[in-house]
Amino acid sequence: MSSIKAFFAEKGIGVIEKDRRIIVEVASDRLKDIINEIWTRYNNKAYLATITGIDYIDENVFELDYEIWFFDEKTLLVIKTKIPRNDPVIDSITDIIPGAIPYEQEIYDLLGIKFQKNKYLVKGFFVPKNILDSYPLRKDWQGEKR
Amino acid sequence: MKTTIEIPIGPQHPALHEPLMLRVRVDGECVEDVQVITGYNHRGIEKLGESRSFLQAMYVFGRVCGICNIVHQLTYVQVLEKIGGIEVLPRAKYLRSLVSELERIHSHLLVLAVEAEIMGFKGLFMLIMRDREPIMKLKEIVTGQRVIADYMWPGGVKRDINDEKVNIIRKTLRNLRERMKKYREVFSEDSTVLSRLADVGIIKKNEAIQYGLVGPTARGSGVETDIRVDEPYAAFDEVPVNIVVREEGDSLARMLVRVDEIFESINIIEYILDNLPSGPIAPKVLKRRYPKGEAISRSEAPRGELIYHMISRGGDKPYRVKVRTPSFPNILNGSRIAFRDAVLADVPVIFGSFDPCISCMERILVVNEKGEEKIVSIRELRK
Repeated sequence: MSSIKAFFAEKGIGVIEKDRRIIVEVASDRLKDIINEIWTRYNNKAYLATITGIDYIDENVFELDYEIWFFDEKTLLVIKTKIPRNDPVIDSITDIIPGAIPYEQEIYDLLGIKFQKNKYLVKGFFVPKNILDSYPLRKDWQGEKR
Repeated sequence: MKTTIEIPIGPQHPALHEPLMLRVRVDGECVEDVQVITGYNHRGIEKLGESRSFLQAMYVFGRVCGICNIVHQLTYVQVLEKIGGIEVLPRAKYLRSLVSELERIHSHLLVLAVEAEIMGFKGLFMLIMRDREPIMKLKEIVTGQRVIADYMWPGGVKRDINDEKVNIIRKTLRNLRERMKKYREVFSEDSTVLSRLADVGIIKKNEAIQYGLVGPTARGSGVETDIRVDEPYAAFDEVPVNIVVREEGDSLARMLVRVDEIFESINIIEYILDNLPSGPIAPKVLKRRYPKGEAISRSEAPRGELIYHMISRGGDKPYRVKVRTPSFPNILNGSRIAFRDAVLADVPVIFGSFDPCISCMERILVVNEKGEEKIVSIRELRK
């Protein structure tokens, strides 16, 4: 068993493993602690590849997928977490992983998920000025107002 | 007395050819802080991908970037194949690797040339661009197009090569290898190059990992990462690939990694031509609808790790396609660390050493054309 699977087994979190991917789902309030532990345990042996934000409008949730690549295990860990769509707030992980800053900026700009304590969040990071009040990657986005 | 002034470089600037602004705060000549201002070049590709069918989106993602269009389309097609459970034909796998290495060569040659121009070494710029042209021709010979190739197909590729084409490729690459020996000498010995690039814009190994840098930018700082080796795709599980790593972490190291990778790519292509399996290049059946599922596909673009993350809910359209391009961490995170202790004149050189590609980084926003009644249907376009 790989050490990443063992790490989650210790915590009683089930994982799905398939061809170089380990997928776990954690509650949003536990996410930061888990990432912190991973980062301490695998210091400089893993990097944050990306954060994907997905709008599941039918289930009224936003999903965030934190994708971390482990150099030695040659495995991509995908940590999934869900937050309510009407209150999209989650703790920022930028104090643990500085490389997460632009990913959080991007998701804030396009999906409107607020990352608490990320001081770099800015509307208009990617979005043009004329649609600053909307979040274009949300499924209910109506397009530019005329 | 300390006086900090702010100098904007870009979005239109002679030293920076891409639509991006670097807000540089300087005290005299010394750089204190560089802020990257983005948002000049948004095209809404991710959103556009959601509104097109799986096959139409293949052409959309093939246009994320002109320089690395092959690898974008390849990674998109790979993610489709994972969701649809499609096996890739052996000959097509090799051809995919072949064109992606051709693309790596011409992309690396381009950045070597551009960096030479930023340094003020115009002669070197012209020489390298001249040697890049035959590679573009090779790309045309293999894929049918010089720039945007649209070469990929779910389960295979669109065009085959024959002995005549193989001979042209071999001959061109032989010539290039000789030329590259000269350029390696220039980049490692020439005093202009050394004084502009050596010990400039240093990124340490642990910083490169903490900030998630990828590709030659990370390998120039001693991070041994290459998706072709770590998670082989196309034919890279059978083709030997050596990772080029340098420990110095400065702008010169990043350029020399690219120089050596061109030699490596030439070797890979020659191996592919020697061991090209025979057989068909594309499956007879084209799948238009894909089952429910989620997949992440990674590949080594010329600038580093490229990720496509697709969620399908069945039917004929993807629900969400996330594209994480290599320039995204390299530009935005690299700029946070590489400009320490730099002087103003170094800023464009350091930035150029990331091989910045703005279309690669900014690709998300939708721009709605005014007057929707003007939109023509695909059927009308076909006429």
